[in-house]
Amino acid sequence: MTTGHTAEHSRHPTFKQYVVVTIILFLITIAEFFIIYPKPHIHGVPLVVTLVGLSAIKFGIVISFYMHLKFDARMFTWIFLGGLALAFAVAIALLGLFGALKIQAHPRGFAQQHAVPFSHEEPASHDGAMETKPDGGMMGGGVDKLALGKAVFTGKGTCFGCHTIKGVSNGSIGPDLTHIGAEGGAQKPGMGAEAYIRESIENPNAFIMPGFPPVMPPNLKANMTKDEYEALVAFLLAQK
Amino acid sequence: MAHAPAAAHHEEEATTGLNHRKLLMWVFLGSDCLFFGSLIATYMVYRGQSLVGPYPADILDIPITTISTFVLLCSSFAMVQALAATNRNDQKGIKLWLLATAGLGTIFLLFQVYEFNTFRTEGLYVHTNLFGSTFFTLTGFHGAHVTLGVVWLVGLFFIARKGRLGPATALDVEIAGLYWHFVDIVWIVIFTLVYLIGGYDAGPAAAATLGGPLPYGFLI
Repeated sequence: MTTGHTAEHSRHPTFKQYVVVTIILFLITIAEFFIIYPKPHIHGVPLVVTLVGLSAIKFGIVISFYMHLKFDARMFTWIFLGGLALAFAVAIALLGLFGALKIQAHPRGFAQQHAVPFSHEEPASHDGAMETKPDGGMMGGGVDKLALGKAVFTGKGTCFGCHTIKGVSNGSIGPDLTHIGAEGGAQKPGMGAEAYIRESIENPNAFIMPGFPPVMPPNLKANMTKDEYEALVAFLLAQK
Repeated sequence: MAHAPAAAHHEEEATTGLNHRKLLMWVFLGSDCLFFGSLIATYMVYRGQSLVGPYPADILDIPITTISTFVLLCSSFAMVQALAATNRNDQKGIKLWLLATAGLGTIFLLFQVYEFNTFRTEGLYVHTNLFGSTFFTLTGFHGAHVTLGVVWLVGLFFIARKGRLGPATALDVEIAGLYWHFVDIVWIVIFTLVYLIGGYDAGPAAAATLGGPLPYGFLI
Protein backbone atom coordinates (compact mmCIF):
# COMPACT_ATOMS: atom_id res chain seq x y z
CA MET A 1 0.00 0.00 0.00
CA THR A 2 2.95 2.29 0.61
CA THR A 3 4.20 1.87 -2.94
CA GLY A 4 1.03 3.46 -4.30
CA HIS A 5 2.15 3.22 -7.90
CA THR A 6 -1.41 3.63 -9.00
CA ALA A 7 -4.12 5.63 -7.35
CA GLU A 8 -6.35 2.54 -7.26
CA HIS A 9 -4.23 0.63 -4.78
CA SER A 10 -4.12 3.37 -2.21
CA ARG A 11 -7.90 3.27 -2.04
CA HIS A 12 -8.11 -0.23 -0.60
CA PRO A 13 -9.43 -0.53 2.96
CA THR A 14 -6.85 -0.72 5.73
CA PHE A 15 -6.02 -3.84 7.74
CA LYS A 16 -7.96 -2.47 10.69
CA GLN A 17 -11.03 -1.89 8.52
CA TYR A 18 -10.83 -5.46 7.26
CA VAL A 19 -10.69 -6.82 10.81
CA VAL A 20 -13.72 -4.75 11.83
CA VAL A 21 -15.62 -5.88 8.72
CA THR A 22 -14.82 -9.52 9.45
CA ILE A 23 -15.94 -9.22 13.06
CA ILE A 24 -19.23 -7.63 11.96
CA LEU A 25 -19.80 -10.47 9.48
CA PHE A 26 -19.11 -13.00 12.24
CA LEU A 27 -21.51 -11.31 14.66
CA ILE A 28 -24.31 -11.17 12.09
CA THR A 29 -23.85 -14.87 11.30
CA ILE A 30 -23.93 -15.76 15.00
CA ALA A 31 -27.10 -13.69 15.43
CA GLU A 32 -28.72 -15.45 12.46
CA PHE A 33 -27.82 -18.84 13.90
CA PHE A 34 -29.33 -18.15 17.32
CA ILE A 35 -32.51 -16.69 15.82
CA ILE A 36 -33.36 -20.11 14.40
CA TYR A 37 -31.48 -22.55 16.65
CA PRO A 38 -32.39 -24.80 18.41
CA LYS A 39 -35.90 -23.69 17.44
CA PRO A 40 -36.93 -20.55 15.53
CA HIS A 41 -37.73 -17.77 17.99
CA ILE A 42 -39.86 -15.87 15.51
CA HIS A 43 -41.98 -17.26 12.70
CA GLY A 44 -43.51 -16.45 9.36
CA VAL A 45 -43.02 -13.08 7.74
CA PRO A 46 -40.98 -11.48 10.60
CA LEU A 47 -38.51 -14.40 10.51
CA VAL A 48 -38.06 -14.19 6.75
CA VAL A 49 -37.72 -10.40 6.76
CA THR A 50 -35.15 -10.52 9.60
CA LEU A 51 -32.99 -13.25 8.04
CA VAL A 52 -33.16 -11.87 4.50
CA GLY A 53 -32.37 -8.40 5.88
CA LEU A 54 -29.36 -9.63 7.86
CA SER A 55 -27.94 -11.56 4.95
CA ALA A 56 -28.51 -8.58 2.64
CA ILE A 57 -26.36 -6.53 5.05
CA LYS A 58 -23.65 -9.21 4.91
CA PHE A 59 -23.91 -9.28 1.12
CA GLY A 60 -23.54 -5.48 0.97
CA ILE A 61 -20.56 -5.47 3.34
CA VAL A 62 -18.68 -8.12 1.36
CA ILE A 63 -19.15 -6.43 -2.02
CA SER A 64 -18.40 -2.96 -0.58
CA PHE A 65 -15.26 -3.82 1.40
CA TYR A 66 -13.87 -7.25 0.47
CA MET A 67 -14.62 -6.63 -3.20
CA HIS A 68 -13.92 -2.90 -2.58
CA LEU A 69 -16.73 -1.61 -4.78
CA LYS A 70 -17.02 1.23 -2.27
CA PHE A 71 -13.51 2.37 -3.20
CA ASP A 72 -13.53 1.48 -6.88
CA ALA A 73 -14.87 2.98 -10.10
CA ARG A 74 -18.68 3.35 -10.06
CA MET A 75 -18.94 1.47 -13.34
CA PHE A 76 -18.04 -1.84 -11.64
CA THR A 77 -20.85 -1.37 -9.15
CA TRP A 78 -23.39 -0.70 -11.89
CA ILE A 79 -22.29 -3.70 -13.94
CA PHE A 80 -22.57 -6.02 -10.97
CA LEU A 81 -25.84 -4.58 -9.68
CA GLY A 82 -27.20 -4.80 -13.23
CA GLY A 83 -26.51 -8.53 -13.28
CA LEU A 84 -27.95 -8.87 -9.80
CA ALA A 85 -31.14 -7.01 -10.81
CA LEU A 86 -31.54 -9.27 -13.85
CA ALA A 87 -31.06 -12.30 -11.61
CA PHE A 88 -33.83 -11.04 -9.31
CA ALA A 89 -36.10 -10.49 -12.31
CA VAL A 90 -35.45 -14.04 -13.57
CA ALA A 91 -36.07 -15.46 -10.09
CA ILE A 92 -39.35 -13.58 -9.63
CA ALA A 93 -40.47 -14.61 -13.12
CA LEU A 94 -39.71 -18.28 -12.37
CA LEU A 95 -41.53 -18.14 -9.04
CA GLY A 96 -44.51 -16.47 -10.70
CA LEU A 97 -44.62 -18.94 -13.60
CA PHE A 98 -44.75 -21.88 -11.21
CA GLY A 99 -47.33 -20.31 -8.94
CA ALA A 100 -44.96 -20.08 -6.00
CA LEU A 101 -45.56 -16.38 -5.36
CA LYS A 102 -49.09 -16.81 -4.08
CA ILE A 103 -49.85 -18.36 -0.74
CA GLN A 104 -51.21 -21.81 -1.47
CA ALA A 105 -54.02 -23.40 0.47
CA HIS A 106 -52.38 -26.79 0.27
CA PRO A 107 -48.66 -27.18 0.85
CA ARG A 108 -48.03 -29.90 -1.70
CA GLY A 109 -50.78 -28.99 -4.14
CA PHE A 110 -48.46 -28.52 -7.09
CA ALA A 111 -46.45 -31.70 -6.60
CA GLN A 112 -49.44 -33.90 -5.82
CA GLN A 113 -51.18 -32.90 -9.03
CA HIS A 114 -48.10 -33.71 -11.06
CA ALA A 115 -46.82 -36.75 -9.19
CA VAL A 116 -45.99 -39.79 -11.27
CA PRO A 117 -45.38 -43.23 -9.77
CA PHE A 118 -41.67 -43.85 -9.70
CA SER A 119 -39.54 -46.74 -8.63
CA HIS A 120 -36.08 -47.95 -9.51
CA GLU A 121 -36.59 -51.67 -9.19
CA GLU A 122 -38.94 -53.76 -11.19
CA PRO A 123 -41.84 -54.62 -8.89
CA ALA A 124 -41.13 -57.90 -7.11
CA SER A 125 -43.50 -60.66 -8.05
CA HIS A 126 -45.54 -61.64 -4.99
CA ASP A 127 -47.51 -64.71 -5.99
CA GLY A 128 -48.53 -63.07 -9.23
CA ALA A 129 -50.16 -60.06 -7.63
CA MET A 130 -47.69 -57.65 -9.21
CA GLU A 131 -47.79 -59.04 -12.70
CA THR A 132 -49.74 -56.14 -14.04
CA LYS A 133 -49.24 -53.59 -16.74
CA PRO A 134 -46.38 -51.25 -15.80
CA ASP A 135 -48.42 -48.14 -16.55
CA GLY A 136 -50.89 -49.04 -13.84
CA GLY A 137 -53.70 -49.18 -16.39
CA MET A 138 -56.01 -46.43 -15.19
CA MET A 139 -58.25 -46.52 -18.24
CA GLY A 140 -60.48 -49.10 -19.89
CA GLY A 141 -63.13 -51.47 -18.56
CA GLY A 142 -61.06 -54.65 -18.44
CA VAL A 143 -58.42 -53.21 -16.16
CA ASP A 144 -57.01 -55.53 -13.58
CA LYS A 145 -58.29 -54.56 -10.15
CA LEU A 146 -54.89 -54.94 -8.53
CA ALA A 147 -53.27 -52.72 -11.16
CA LEU A 148 -55.83 -50.02 -10.45
CA GLY A 149 -55.23 -50.42 -6.72
CA LYS A 150 -51.51 -50.06 -7.21
CA ALA A 151 -52.02 -46.96 -9.33
CA VAL A 152 -54.16 -45.45 -6.57
CA PHE A 153 -51.50 -46.36 -3.98
CA THR A 154 -48.71 -44.73 -5.99
CA GLY A 155 -50.82 -41.87 -7.33
CA LYS A 156 -53.89 -40.02 -6.19
CA GLY A 157 -54.18 -41.94 -2.91
CA THR A 158 -50.75 -40.50 -1.94
CA CYS A 159 -50.21 -43.61 0.26
CA PHE A 160 -46.70 -44.06 -1.19
CA GLY A 161 -45.59 -40.82 0.42
CA CYS A 162 -45.62 -42.34 3.89
CA HIS A 163 -45.71 -46.13 3.46
CA THR A 164 -43.23 -48.65 2.12
CA ILE A 165 -44.24 -51.56 -0.03
CA LYS A 166 -41.03 -53.19 -1.19
CA GLY A 167 -40.59 -52.64 -4.91
CA VAL A 168 -43.40 -50.07 -5.05
CA SER A 169 -42.63 -47.24 -2.64
CA ASN A 170 -40.33 -46.31 0.21
CA GLY A 171 -42.02 -43.94 2.65
CA SER A 172 -40.97 -44.10 6.27
CA ILE A 173 -43.51 -42.00 8.17
CA GLY A 174 -46.10 -44.74 8.48
CA PRO A 175 -45.81 -48.52 8.95
CA ASP A 176 -44.33 -50.77 6.26
CA LEU A 177 -47.18 -52.35 4.26
CA THR A 178 -45.13 -54.91 2.34
CA HIS A 179 -46.91 -57.81 4.08
CA ILE A 180 -50.08 -56.04 5.18
CA GLY A 181 -52.31 -58.65 3.53
CA ALA A 182 -50.78 -61.37 5.68
CA GLU A 183 -50.21 -59.42 8.87
CA GLY A 184 -53.23 -57.11 8.85
CA GLY A 185 -55.42 -59.71 10.49
CA ALA A 186 -53.11 -59.98 13.48
CA GLN A 187 -53.14 -56.34 14.53
CA LYS A 188 -56.51 -56.23 16.29
CA PRO A 189 -58.08 -59.30 17.92
CA GLY A 190 -61.21 -60.44 16.16
CA MET A 191 -60.64 -58.24 13.13
CA GLY A 192 -59.63 -59.73 9.79
CA ALA A 193 -57.07 -58.20 7.46
CA GLU A 194 -59.62 -56.64 5.13
CA ALA A 195 -61.65 -55.06 7.92
CA TYR A 196 -58.45 -53.82 9.51
CA ILE A 197 -57.26 -52.25 6.23
CA ARG A 198 -60.63 -50.56 5.69
CA GLU A 199 -60.71 -49.21 9.23
CA SER A 200 -57.14 -47.94 8.94
CA ILE A 201 -57.96 -45.95 5.81
CA GLU A 202 -61.38 -44.66 6.86
CA ASN A 203 -60.56 -43.99 10.48
CA PRO A 204 -56.76 -44.12 10.81
CA ASN A 205 -56.71 -43.03 14.45
CA ALA A 206 -58.81 -46.00 15.60
CA PHE A 207 -55.59 -47.98 15.97
CA ILE A 208 -52.10 -46.49 15.79
CA MET A 209 -49.18 -48.86 15.44
CA PRO A 210 -46.86 -48.38 18.42
CA GLY A 211 -43.91 -46.16 17.51
CA PHE A 212 -45.69 -44.23 14.75
CA PRO A 213 -47.16 -40.72 14.91
CA PRO A 214 -50.96 -40.35 14.55
CA VAL A 215 -50.67 -38.25 11.42
CA MET A 216 -52.50 -40.12 8.67
CA PRO A 217 -55.18 -37.89 7.10
CA PRO A 218 -58.66 -39.35 7.84
CA ASN A 219 -60.24 -38.13 4.60
CA LEU A 220 -58.14 -39.95 2.00
CA LYS A 221 -61.08 -42.09 0.88
CA ALA A 222 -62.95 -38.97 -0.18
CA ASN A 223 -60.43 -38.42 -2.99
CA MET A 224 -61.19 -41.76 -4.63
CA THR A 225 -64.11 -43.21 -6.53
CA LYS A 226 -65.74 -46.30 -5.03
CA ASP A 227 -64.02 -48.52 -7.62
CA GLU A 228 -60.66 -47.00 -6.87
CA TYR A 229 -61.13 -47.48 -3.15
CA GLU A 230 -62.15 -51.13 -3.56
CA ALA A 231 -59.18 -51.69 -5.88
CA LEU A 232 -56.84 -50.13 -3.32
CA VAL A 233 -58.15 -52.42 -0.58
CA ALA A 234 -57.75 -55.43 -2.89
CA PHE A 235 -54.23 -54.35 -3.78
CA LEU A 236 -53.27 -54.00 -0.11
CA LEU A 237 -54.84 -57.38 0.73
CA ALA A 238 -52.65 -58.93 -1.99
CA GLN A 239 -49.46 -57.77 -0.25
CA LYS A 240 -48.48 -61.00 1.52
CA MET B 1 -3.92 -14.59 -16.58
CA ALA B 2 -0.85 -14.21 -14.45
CA HIS B 3 1.90 -13.98 -17.03
CA ALA B 4 2.19 -10.29 -17.72
CA PRO B 5 4.19 -8.72 -14.90
CA ALA B 6 5.77 -6.15 -17.21
CA ALA B 7 2.65 -5.23 -19.12
CA ALA B 8 0.65 -4.62 -15.97
CA HIS B 9 2.93 -1.72 -15.13
CA HIS B 10 1.59 0.41 -17.94
CA GLU B 11 -1.67 2.21 -17.61
CA GLU B 12 -3.95 0.69 -20.19
CA GLU B 13 -5.54 2.67 -22.96
CA ALA B 14 -9.26 2.12 -22.62
CA THR B 15 -12.26 4.16 -23.66
CA THR B 16 -13.92 3.31 -20.36
CA GLY B 17 -10.87 4.36 -18.38
CA LEU B 18 -11.20 1.04 -16.59
CA ASN B 19 -8.93 -1.96 -16.56
CA HIS B 20 -10.15 -4.47 -19.12
CA ARG B 21 -9.48 -7.57 -17.09
CA LYS B 22 -11.17 -6.23 -14.02
CA LEU B 23 -14.14 -5.06 -16.07
CA LEU B 24 -14.40 -8.51 -17.64
CA MET B 25 -14.35 -10.13 -14.20
CA TRP B 26 -17.20 -7.92 -13.01
CA VAL B 27 -19.22 -8.65 -16.16
CA PHE B 28 -18.66 -12.37 -15.54
CA LEU B 29 -19.72 -12.04 -11.90
CA GLY B 30 -22.83 -10.14 -12.98
CA SER B 31 -23.72 -12.98 -15.35
CA ASP B 32 -22.94 -15.58 -12.68
CA CYS B 33 -25.59 -13.86 -10.54
CA LEU B 34 -28.10 -14.93 -13.19
CA PHE B 35 -26.79 -18.49 -13.10
CA PHE B 36 -27.14 -18.83 -9.34
CA GLY B 37 -30.32 -16.74 -9.32
CA SER B 38 -31.97 -19.34 -11.56
CA LEU B 39 -30.79 -22.27 -9.43
CA ILE B 40 -31.92 -20.57 -6.21
CA ALA B 41 -35.30 -19.69 -7.74
CA THR B 42 -35.69 -23.32 -8.82
CA TYR B 43 -35.00 -24.45 -5.27
CA MET B 44 -37.59 -21.99 -3.96
CA VAL B 45 -40.20 -23.02 -6.55
CA TYR B 46 -39.96 -26.66 -5.46
CA ARG B 47 -39.52 -25.87 -1.79
CA GLY B 48 -41.95 -27.88 0.33
CA GLN B 49 -43.23 -29.82 -2.71
CA SER B 50 -41.45 -33.10 -2.02
CA LEU B 51 -43.89 -35.99 -1.54
CA VAL B 52 -41.39 -38.46 -0.10
CA GLY B 53 -38.64 -37.98 2.46
CA PRO B 54 -36.04 -37.27 3.60
CA TYR B 55 -37.14 -33.66 4.01
CA PRO B 56 -34.83 -30.74 4.94
CA ALA B 57 -35.90 -30.90 8.60
CA ASP B 58 -34.88 -34.58 8.73
CA ILE B 59 -31.31 -34.21 7.55
CA LEU B 60 -30.02 -30.62 7.28
CA ASP B 61 -27.42 -30.06 10.01
CA ILE B 62 -27.60 -26.34 10.75
CA PRO B 63 -24.79 -26.16 13.40
CA ILE B 64 -22.29 -27.98 11.16
CA THR B 65 -23.19 -25.79 8.20
CA THR B 66 -22.86 -22.66 10.34
CA ILE B 67 -19.29 -23.73 11.13
CA SER B 68 -18.50 -24.27 7.45
CA THR B 69 -20.02 -20.82 6.78
CA PHE B 70 -17.55 -19.35 9.29
CA VAL B 71 -14.72 -21.17 7.52
CA LEU B 72 -15.71 -19.55 4.22
CA LEU B 73 -15.93 -16.12 5.90
CA CYS B 74 -12.43 -16.62 7.32
CA SER B 75 -11.14 -17.54 3.88
CA SER B 76 -12.49 -14.24 2.53
CA PHE B 77 -10.53 -12.42 5.25
CA ALA B 78 -7.39 -14.38 4.29
CA MET B 79 -7.99 -13.42 0.66
CA VAL B 80 -8.01 -9.68 1.34
CA GLN B 81 -4.83 -10.13 3.41
CA ALA B 82 -3.21 -11.91 0.44
CA LEU B 83 -4.03 -8.90 -1.73
CA ALA B 84 -2.75 -6.46 0.90
CA ALA B 85 0.51 -8.45 1.18
CA THR B 86 0.86 -8.37 -2.61
CA ASN B 87 0.40 -4.61 -2.67
CA ARG B 88 3.13 -4.08 -0.07
CA ASN B 89 5.39 -6.68 -1.74
CA ASP B 90 5.48 -8.89 1.37
CA GLN B 91 6.61 -12.09 -0.39
CA LYS B 92 6.22 -14.29 2.67
CA GLY B 93 2.79 -12.83 3.41
CA ILE B 94 1.57 -13.41 -0.16
CA LYS B 95 2.36 -17.12 0.00
CA LEU B 96 1.07 -17.53 3.54
CA TRP B 97 -2.28 -15.83 2.95
CA LEU B 98 -2.85 -17.44 -0.47
CA LEU B 99 -2.24 -20.84 1.06
CA ALA B 100 -4.50 -19.99 4.01
CA THR B 101 -7.30 -18.96 1.63
CA ALA B 102 -6.97 -22.13 -0.45
CA GLY B 103 -6.72 -24.23 2.72
CA LEU B 104 -9.88 -22.76 4.26
CA GLY B 105 -11.66 -23.22 0.92
CA THR B 106 -10.61 -26.87 0.98
CA ILE B 107 -11.94 -27.28 4.52
CA PHE B 108 -15.27 -25.83 3.35
CA LEU B 109 -15.30 -28.40 0.53
CA LEU B 110 -14.55 -31.21 2.99
CA PHE B 111 -17.56 -30.11 5.05
CA GLN B 112 -19.61 -30.35 1.87
CA VAL B 113 -18.26 -33.81 1.06
CA TYR B 114 -19.14 -34.89 4.62
CA GLU B 115 -22.64 -33.39 4.26
CA PHE B 116 -23.33 -35.01 0.89
CA ASN B 117 -22.10 -38.36 2.20
CA THR B 118 -24.30 -38.11 5.29
CA PHE B 119 -27.32 -37.32 3.10
CA ARG B 120 -26.52 -40.30 0.91
CA THR B 121 -26.40 -42.70 3.84
CA GLU B 122 -29.71 -41.26 5.07
CA GLY B 123 -31.30 -41.97 1.71
CA LEU B 124 -31.29 -38.58 -0.01
CA TYR B 125 -30.05 -38.84 -3.57
CA VAL B 126 -30.38 -36.41 -6.43
CA HIS B 127 -33.29 -38.54 -7.72
CA THR B 128 -35.05 -39.14 -4.38
CA ASN B 129 -37.35 -36.13 -4.38
CA LEU B 130 -37.61 -32.50 -5.48
CA PHE B 131 -35.63 -31.44 -2.41
CA GLY B 132 -32.75 -33.76 -3.33
CA SER B 133 -32.71 -32.70 -6.99
CA THR B 134 -32.75 -28.97 -6.34
CA PHE B 135 -30.52 -29.09 -3.24
CA PHE B 136 -27.71 -31.10 -4.81
CA THR B 137 -27.85 -29.07 -8.02
CA LEU B 138 -27.66 -25.74 -6.19
CA THR B 139 -25.04 -26.58 -3.55
CA GLY B 140 -23.15 -28.82 -6.00
CA PHE B 141 -22.67 -25.96 -8.46
CA HIS B 142 -21.58 -23.73 -5.59
CA GLY B 143 -19.08 -26.39 -4.53
CA ALA B 144 -17.81 -26.56 -8.11
CA HIS B 145 -17.22 -22.80 -8.00
CA VAL B 146 -15.31 -23.16 -4.72
CA THR B 147 -13.24 -25.99 -6.24
CA LEU B 148 -12.31 -23.84 -9.23
CA GLY B 149 -11.38 -21.04 -6.83
CA VAL B 150 -9.10 -23.35 -4.82
CA VAL B 151 -7.35 -24.48 -8.03
CA TRP B 152 -6.90 -20.83 -9.04
CA LEU B 153 -5.47 -19.88 -5.62
CA VAL B 154 -3.07 -22.83 -5.57
CA GLY B 155 -1.93 -21.77 -9.04
CA LEU B 156 -1.29 -18.24 -7.73
CA PHE B 157 0.61 -19.74 -4.80
CA PHE B 158 3.02 -21.50 -7.17
CA ILE B 159 3.47 -18.28 -9.15
CA ALA B 160 4.16 -16.50 -5.86
CA ARG B 161 6.79 -19.15 -4.99
CA LYS B 162 8.71 -18.07 -8.07
CA GLY B 163 8.57 -14.52 -6.75
CA ARG B 164 6.42 -13.32 -9.64
CA LEU B 165 3.69 -11.69 -7.54
CA GLY B 166 4.11 -8.17 -6.22
CA PRO B 167 2.69 -4.66 -6.54
CA ALA B 168 3.15 -4.76 -10.32
CA THR B 169 1.05 -7.90 -10.65
CA ALA B 170 -1.38 -7.21 -7.82
CA LEU B 171 -4.25 -7.28 -10.31
CA ASP B 172 -3.73 -11.03 -10.75
CA VAL B 173 -4.44 -11.51 -7.06
CA GLU B 174 -7.21 -8.91 -6.99
CA ILE B 175 -9.19 -10.59 -9.79
CA ALA B 176 -8.87 -14.00 -8.15
CA GLY B 177 -10.05 -12.30 -4.96
CA LEU B 178 -13.15 -10.87 -6.67
CA TYR B 179 -14.10 -14.38 -7.81
CA TRP B 180 -13.42 -15.82 -4.36
CA HIS B 181 -15.53 -13.20 -2.55
CA PHE B 182 -18.32 -13.72 -5.05
CA VAL B 183 -18.41 -17.41 -4.17
CA ASP B 184 -18.65 -16.28 -0.54
CA ILE B 185 -21.65 -14.00 -1.14
CA VAL B 186 -23.44 -16.72 -3.10
CA TRP B 187 -23.01 -18.91 -0.03
CA ILE B 188 -24.42 -16.15 2.18
CA VAL B 189 -27.62 -16.30 0.10
CA ILE B 190 -27.76 -20.12 -0.05
CA PHE B 191 -27.10 -20.44 3.68
CA THR B 192 -29.91 -18.00 4.51
CA LEU B 193 -32.54 -19.40 2.16
CA VAL B 194 -31.82 -23.13 2.28
CA TYR B 195 -30.54 -23.60 5.83
CA LEU B 196 -31.79 -20.73 8.01
CA ILE B 197 -35.23 -20.16 6.47
CA GLY B 198 -35.82 -23.59 4.88
CA GLY B 199 -33.99 -25.74 7.42
CA TYR B 200 -37.16 -26.69 9.28
CA ASP B 201 -39.19 -27.66 6.21
CA ALA B 202 -40.85 -30.93 7.08
CA GLY B 203 -42.92 -33.52 5.29
CA PRO B 204 -46.71 -33.72 4.97
CA ALA B 205 -47.02 -35.85 8.14
CA ALA B 206 -45.33 -33.24 10.33
CA ALA B 207 -47.53 -30.58 8.77
CA ALA B 208 -50.55 -32.70 9.71
CA THR B 209 -49.54 -32.74 13.40
CA LEU B 210 -49.75 -28.96 13.33
CA GLY B 211 -53.44 -29.19 12.46
CA GLY B 212 -53.71 -30.17 8.84
CA PRO B 213 -52.37 -28.52 5.72
CA LEU B 214 -50.85 -25.13 6.42
CA PRO B 215 -51.00 -22.14 4.10
CA TYR B 216 -47.84 -22.23 2.09
CA GLY B 217 -45.87 -19.65 0.10
CA PHE B 218 -42.41 -20.02 -1.38
CA LEU B 219 -40.75 -18.26 1.57
CA ILE B 220 -43.01 -18.99 4.49
